[in-house]
Amino acid sequence: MIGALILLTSIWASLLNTGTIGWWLPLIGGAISLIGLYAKSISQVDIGCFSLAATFFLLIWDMPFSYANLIFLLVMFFLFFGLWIFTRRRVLIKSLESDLVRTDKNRYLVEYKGGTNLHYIKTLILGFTVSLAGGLIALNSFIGPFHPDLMIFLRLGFGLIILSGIYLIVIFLPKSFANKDNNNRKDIGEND
Amino acid sequence: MEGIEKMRSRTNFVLVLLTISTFIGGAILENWIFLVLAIANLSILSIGNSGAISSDVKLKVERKTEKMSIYEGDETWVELSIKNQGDRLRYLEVMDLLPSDTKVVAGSNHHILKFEKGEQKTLRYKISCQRRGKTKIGPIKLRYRDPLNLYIEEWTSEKLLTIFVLPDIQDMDSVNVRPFYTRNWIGNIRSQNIGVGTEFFSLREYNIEDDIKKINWKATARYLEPMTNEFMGERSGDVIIIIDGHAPSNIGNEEFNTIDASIQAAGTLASSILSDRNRVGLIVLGDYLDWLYPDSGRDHFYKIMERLSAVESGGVWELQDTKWLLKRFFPNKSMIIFISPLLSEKISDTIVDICMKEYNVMIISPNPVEIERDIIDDRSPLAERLSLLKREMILDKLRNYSIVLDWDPKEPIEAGLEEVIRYWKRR
Repeated sequence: MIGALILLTSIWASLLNTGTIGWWLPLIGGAISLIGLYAKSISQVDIGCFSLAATFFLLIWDMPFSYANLIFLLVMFFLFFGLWIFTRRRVLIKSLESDLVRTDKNRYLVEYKGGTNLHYIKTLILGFTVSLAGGLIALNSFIGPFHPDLMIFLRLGFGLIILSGIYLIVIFLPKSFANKDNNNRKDIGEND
Repeated sequence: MEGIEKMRSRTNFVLVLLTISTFIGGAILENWIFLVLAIANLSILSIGNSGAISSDVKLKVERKTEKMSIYEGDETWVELSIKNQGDRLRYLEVMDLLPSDTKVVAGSNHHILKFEKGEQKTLRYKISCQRRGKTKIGPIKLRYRDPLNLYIEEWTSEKLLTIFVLPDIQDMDSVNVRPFYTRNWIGNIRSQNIGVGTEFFSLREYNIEDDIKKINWKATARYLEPMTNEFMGERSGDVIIIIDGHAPSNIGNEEFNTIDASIQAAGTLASSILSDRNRVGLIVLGDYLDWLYPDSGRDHFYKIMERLSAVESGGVWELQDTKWLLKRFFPNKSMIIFISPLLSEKISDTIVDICMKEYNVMIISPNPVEIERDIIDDRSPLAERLSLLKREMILDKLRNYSIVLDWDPKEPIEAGLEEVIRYWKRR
């Protein structure tokens, strides 16, 4: 199922770029992902999905701005992202299933499948909505119908939001992890 | 739990890198597509991070097994119980690492679990141990993954579970290996003396100390005075099993070799001899000189099996080194069962020397040529013939002094033993 979806997506990504020189590049990415899926190699799946998405976005990088194109761009992005996380999950499930000797169902695996399905769909919908809202704000601040003086402030504000978001994720969260981790070491040691 | 290792997955770094690069690229090139991609990446990172934080990870892991000692090829259940004493966890990948010679035959040692606060989950899987020795189950690898696989945290619980895999033994019902000399304690060997037993020996006049149950009422009626039955004494003896685990005596490959065959023979004989209430001692000339003083009973059998399961070939100890051990620590007039492929003539001289003393000796020799025949494809018929001739010479020499079994390890030991014991008795 997921293999067929990778194939269809890469063919579709190629068909959307038939006029360009590198129209076949998304097909290569799709092929690498498929090999990774069947070889149960997460790194190959990562490389394949990344090259599929990257080649597609590079081929359409000069696409003119319109609201329809914005939605199209986000749909494609979340399609690639969804494909990637579902393929990774499939590889993990395959490795768990290969370690399971009997053919009867592993109830924990069923629970994992059900739980992640819901979480992924929620993430995709939430991500799409947040990105759409963020995209609209950002694009209006860059090319929107505002006075140039105001647009400078909007750009600065937008840049500040992006950078502080990255700062929060990259700098702040690991620090808080490290502090908690030190406490946990003691707690976990006591349990043993 | 020990060896806590915390790491972020590569995925997270790639996404952060992509976000920064697309944002900078979009700002420099004033390209809206890159800016939108930066925003989309950032939204995924934010949502992913919200599911990644597990502030209070406290896990209690316990492992137990159905049987602490099993025979080669047998199966046992292993139960892994994990209790989450911290916050909710989703998803915890658990992998109980197993040695390469252990196979999972039911269930799985690899799971992915979701834990609510205070929840306990039990995982069960069945393993089959293929190789004798100490099988160590573990350590347990625990890996917490956020649902999007952006964050990974790993822990290792170094708790190991040791299962003794005892060497496989054969059934031996029709042959009784019995020591020639018996001791005073009760056993199953009928002696030629009057004593405690069940086999009738003679009649005698009744004494006042005699147990009333021993009165033979038919004889009493015939002789018109009380007569008592006398019985043959049933006694037991001492048997010492010596295994030649000297490195040059190990012929074969990892799956099938003379040491494994010797161990199987020793286990089979120990089980049979102990079931007749005799005492069995053990000397192993392996990686180191290991020995067990003769004793009887079920516990002693397991002690012998545990020692046998740990035998490794090697070392510098040879059979002649056991002579002082036998003399100093083991009882005289014991029966010695020597198990060796008999590859050196020096061994046969030592055995002759032991036979000359107050021991009665039995030699069981797993045939190395038969073992090699199975594992070497392009063997030379001439070399094989020469080996057999040399071996036959040694065996012939030893046959003058003791019971010798030239044993093909692919065949059951019982049949061969029956034949040589019958032959020896007739002689």
